[in-house]
Amino acid sequence: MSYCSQAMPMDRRSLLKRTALFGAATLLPAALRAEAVAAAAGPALRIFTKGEYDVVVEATARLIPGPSDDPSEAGHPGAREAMAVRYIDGLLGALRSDPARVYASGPFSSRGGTKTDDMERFVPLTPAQTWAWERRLEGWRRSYVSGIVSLDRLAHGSFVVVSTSTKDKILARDPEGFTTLLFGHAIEAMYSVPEYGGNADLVGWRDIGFPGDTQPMGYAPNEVSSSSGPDPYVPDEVAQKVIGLVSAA
Amino acid sequence: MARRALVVGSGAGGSVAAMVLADRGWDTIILEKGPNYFSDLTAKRPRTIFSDDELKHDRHFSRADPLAEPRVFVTPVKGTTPQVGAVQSLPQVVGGATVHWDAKTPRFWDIDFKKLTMLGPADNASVIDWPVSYGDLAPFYEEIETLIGVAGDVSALPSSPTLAHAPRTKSLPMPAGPGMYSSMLVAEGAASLGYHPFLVPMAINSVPYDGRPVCTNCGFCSGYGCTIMAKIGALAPLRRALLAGAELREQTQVTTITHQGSRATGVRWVDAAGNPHRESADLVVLAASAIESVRLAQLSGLPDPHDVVGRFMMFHWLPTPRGSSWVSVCTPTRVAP
Repeated sequence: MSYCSQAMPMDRRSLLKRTALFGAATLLPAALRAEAVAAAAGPALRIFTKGEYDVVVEATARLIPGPSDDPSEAGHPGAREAMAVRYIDGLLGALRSDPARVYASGPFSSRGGTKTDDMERFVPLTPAQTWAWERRLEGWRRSYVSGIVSLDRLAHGSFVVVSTSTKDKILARDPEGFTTLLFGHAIEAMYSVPEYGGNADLVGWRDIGFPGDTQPMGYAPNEVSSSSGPDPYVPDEVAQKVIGLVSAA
Repeated sequence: MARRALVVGSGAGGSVAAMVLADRGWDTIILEKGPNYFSDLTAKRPRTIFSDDELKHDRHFSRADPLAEPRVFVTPVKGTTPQVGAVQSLPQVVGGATVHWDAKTPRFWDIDFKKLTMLGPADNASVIDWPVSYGDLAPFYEEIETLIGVAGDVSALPSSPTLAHAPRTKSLPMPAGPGMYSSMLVAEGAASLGYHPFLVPMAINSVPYDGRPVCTNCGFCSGYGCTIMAKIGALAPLRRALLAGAELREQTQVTTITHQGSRATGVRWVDAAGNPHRESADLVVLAASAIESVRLAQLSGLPDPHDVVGRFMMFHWLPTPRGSSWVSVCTPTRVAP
């Protein structure tokens, strides 16, 4: 549940400037780059079996497709590129670390110009938080086990091998609410700070032009107060359709 | 021997109460249900583990986890089912809600304190005057605005009705910060329709203030603890309380106010591990926010001879203008089931 919290809309030019900054892979923390390399070779799994891993990769790639999943997504990375599966596996296994990997620490990542990434460390949970997260993660783990079984069953064997259109039809049935759960977690993986395991190489933020956390650098007053002209974004066919639906609502 | 005060809550109310009591020599203990996400609270600029991390926020970092501490909301309409979970979920951390607020600091008006006298009775409503007036409170507004650091331009406030109903004798300690482009655009539109938009004073540094840096406009403000302490809120009076000798206990949940007749005698509380404790006191200050204070009063069976505790409550007005709902068009699936 979100509660009256939006990031302040940003000045477009500085936003693009910062986005371009993120484009330089050399600016990524070394640990993150190393992780990305390891991930390409297949990440060390905390919770998922290899079979579960494959189903989650393919299912999330249908919910948030990237260029290799759908030609119309060329230039727009999806759940596969963001390593949503690594995020979800890390989430389900968050309590296997001490401190638990539930709350990344602070105040700063190294993305705002500081030398160290405070978010690579995690905050020890209070007893009440531990109690809640044990139950929450236990419930989600059960949902993933039975959800993956359901996807395979609806695919009459293996979800991973059926056609994309069959995958889409299966997911649209939202068996036991599993698609909804998966979508929520895939969205979190796309756009959360990368210390939680998703948003690999910041592909999620870069795609939507979001500069992410910028502290302690932040923004100068003139960047807050001035406009740099109209939004350069040209809505494509899909966006037009959504805008039409919104205006009609 | 110093008299002992227990202050329940370390937010805006509790911190100020503790500051005043400790300054006057009371043996003061602040009991805070939530965890402490700051180090060195006696420093002008404490360090924090809050961060510009939306996921952490959504995972209830600074609020009661709805699984561990579910709330129930019941609409008093027949046939509606109670809502259980994160209902009007309040922050529970050292510093209370001022840790995450966006720090708008308007003042109440004279008519807010003297509704019956100034506006008269209303049908089907219980209209009464407060025992204090705007004039009584005005010096304290000034003191707090200086302590926590409020930025704004008093001369830009409308002389009527704002300043007519809440006169100010001094300028604010800091000038107004930069106007956000989109807000200024909306203000322009409102002005063209005949409205009189103005910048609301806010307790966020527009210049370096009291050992703390200027706001860097990071965008993660409302809902988030400030990573650089450009908004300090209740931590400023809390610091004064601690420097005057008050003791802060985090993860300390008061479960009952013990009392004899109409006199509070202390509290029962549980620690983080759930172990029960007792503490006696000459004075108990209930400062756990409007809802939690009332809840604790009722759970404790505090006397309520006029049957008013928990009634007439208005909590956190939050007008949120928005366009259409995206929820209805954003679905995870690409084909019809």
